[in-house]
Amino acid sequence: MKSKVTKLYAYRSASLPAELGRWRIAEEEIQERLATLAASNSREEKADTVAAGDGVCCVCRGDVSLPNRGHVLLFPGRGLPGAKEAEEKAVGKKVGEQLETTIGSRALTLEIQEIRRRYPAAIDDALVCKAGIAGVHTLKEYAAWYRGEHEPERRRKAVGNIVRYWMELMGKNSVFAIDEEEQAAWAHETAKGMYAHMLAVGEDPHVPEEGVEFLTKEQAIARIAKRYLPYYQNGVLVRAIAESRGVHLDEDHIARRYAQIAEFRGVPLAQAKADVSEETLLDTDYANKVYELLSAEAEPLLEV
Amino acid sequence: MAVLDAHDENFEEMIHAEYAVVDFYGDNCGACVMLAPIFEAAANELSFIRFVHINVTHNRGIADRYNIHGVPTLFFYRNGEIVHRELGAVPREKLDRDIAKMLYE
Repeated sequence: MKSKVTKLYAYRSASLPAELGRWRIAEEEIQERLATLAASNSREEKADTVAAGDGVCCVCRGDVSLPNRGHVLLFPGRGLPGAKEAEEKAVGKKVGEQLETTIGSRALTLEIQEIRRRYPAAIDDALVCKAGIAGVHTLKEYAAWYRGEHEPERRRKAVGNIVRYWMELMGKNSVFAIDEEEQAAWAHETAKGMYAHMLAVGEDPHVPEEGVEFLTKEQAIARIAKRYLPYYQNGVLVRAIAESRGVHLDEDHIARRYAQIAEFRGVPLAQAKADVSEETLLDTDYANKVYELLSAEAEPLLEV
Repeated sequence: MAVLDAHDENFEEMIHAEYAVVDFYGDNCGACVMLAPIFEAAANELSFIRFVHINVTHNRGIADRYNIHGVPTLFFYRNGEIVHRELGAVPREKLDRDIAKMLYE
């Protein structure tokens, strides 16, 4: 690679925003989940008088009604667009009573037919048993299960966020010496792969952005290449980081990877080499290797 | 009320209500995961409306019948007729607007 990073930014010298290292699930989140579980297991009872939070089923009386509807539903306190006035007027009314209101452009007379009130289930051990989670019979076990389910993923994401933060810092603050010819060749090669991919997934790369004349294959590739040009610097950066850590992917590695690709796709080795350029393969593998190295550095910076 | 779980065989029966909202979701869909608690909260708060979800990864028949090409997709039904549809995860405010459209427009 002719392009180089002449000065790699010392990313570890920058302070890390504390929120990037957070991954543990707060007690509040578990309480929120339990509240939702309690709401899902709530019981509904009929009520006599409308209060905020109730569900109210009305019928239209008089000459005007909402088309194609037998009932008009109101949810006082919810503030659903178009029915706020009706919701407010319904509060305090009893079953059988009427209210005059406007919904949309229609002046309606609504008669309250049924009121339903919800009573969430108590948040206790019996509630978590209803969730039917194997081995979870108490609130404490539920909290442990919830953390076990979600914290590994949160931890992985936190590591990823730190690595991305470092890469952005290095991208912005390192000094690059870009070989424009090499950059253009890389973008062209990448665009050829993307062109084939678009065709494979049924997306037409020849559709013009303006006008009606379809692009030729060369024009379509050139357009995609233009889009990829700015991403070239990332690859240069990745190679520089790899080099600074003494990582070198040699001929043996490349041969091994092509053999893997051929086996995975069930195609001859020559076909695998034709499908994936060596540059693309190395770009991917260097990026993965660098991500792995930076992730290992990020791990100790996570909250304990 | 909790969200009802539908499948190919009982789907038509599930949407047979005066008002119903259906969440077509799929496996390995981050946006579906984002929408699920919003949909569940609405179902817990709004009586008389039936909230149904169906996994189209495992119920391809329904996905084909209703031309579901992306998940999550929300359908809003009135008396079994689709009155509105929405593609992608939506915040609660947007879901409320869509429900209001089904109820009042």
